[in-house]
Amino acid sequence: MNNKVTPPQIIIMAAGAVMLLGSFLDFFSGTNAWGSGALPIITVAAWIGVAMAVVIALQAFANVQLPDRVLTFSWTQLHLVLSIYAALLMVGWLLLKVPGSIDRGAGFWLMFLGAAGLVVGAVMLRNEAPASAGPSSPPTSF
Amino acid sequence: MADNNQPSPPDIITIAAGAVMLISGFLAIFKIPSGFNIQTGSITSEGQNVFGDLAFPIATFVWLFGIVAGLQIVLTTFANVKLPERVLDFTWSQIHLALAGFCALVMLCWLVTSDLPDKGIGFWGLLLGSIALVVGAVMRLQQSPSTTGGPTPPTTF
Repeated sequence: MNNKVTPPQIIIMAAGAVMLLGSFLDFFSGTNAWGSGALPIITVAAWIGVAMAVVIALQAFANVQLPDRVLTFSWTQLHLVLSIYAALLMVGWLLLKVPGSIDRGAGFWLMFLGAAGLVVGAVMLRNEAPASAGPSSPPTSF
Repeated sequence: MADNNQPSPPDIITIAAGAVMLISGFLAIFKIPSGFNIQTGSITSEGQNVFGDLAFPIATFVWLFGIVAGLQIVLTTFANVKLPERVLDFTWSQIHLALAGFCALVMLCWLVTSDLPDKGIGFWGLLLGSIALVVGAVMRLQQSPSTTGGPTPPTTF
């Protein structure tokens, strides 16, 4: 990968940073994602976002050569899978029935926004990948 | 995946895991204290399954993914249902690993999270099923002829 950072890469890095920031703010009233009862079941979504952002940063800025595939997944596929993990978790926390006295805080909404950003970035990354499906993709007519 | 209606060991593991998770979903995932029994002097608790307030929808996702993984194997192996080879660039082996990974990640995170209500038999069933799903998915990935996304080699009839 060259050092030119593409829009999906910027989105994923920003989303990861937003999720990390959100994890330190109130998730439910009075507790953040690192609090008792939240670590790691809530924090894991932020970890996923940070991990994705770090991988992108390493590839884009540090020219770190990572293996082409991890457990047969290309990096594009892996970003898509991880972003869906984070999004599912955050949708889960959104739909969770909480007692009336408990509100969702700024941390929750930042992490939710970050997870949505991760999915957007991962889908854009997949769409701009030259041939993510490998040699079985049909030839294009250029 | 087996072509001749003979399920391979990873298929059997995945089907068994899916079945265990299907049943576990209807058992108590968490036990919420609901009252106090004066006669026995003990706290009574109410079990919540995957549709309970505390478990829905994250545990429901885990439950559904286990069922989907098991069902996919049952349909292709026993019912000869032809599914597309790839879904969004992902092979079925990769989809199984992705589903299993989510289930195991969530269940392991729940396992080590402190200050949660007592865990019920359904929780342990989902955890066990999730780990079995990962084992089955990794075994399937290792025995799959083309794991890197290339075209599948021709079969000998």
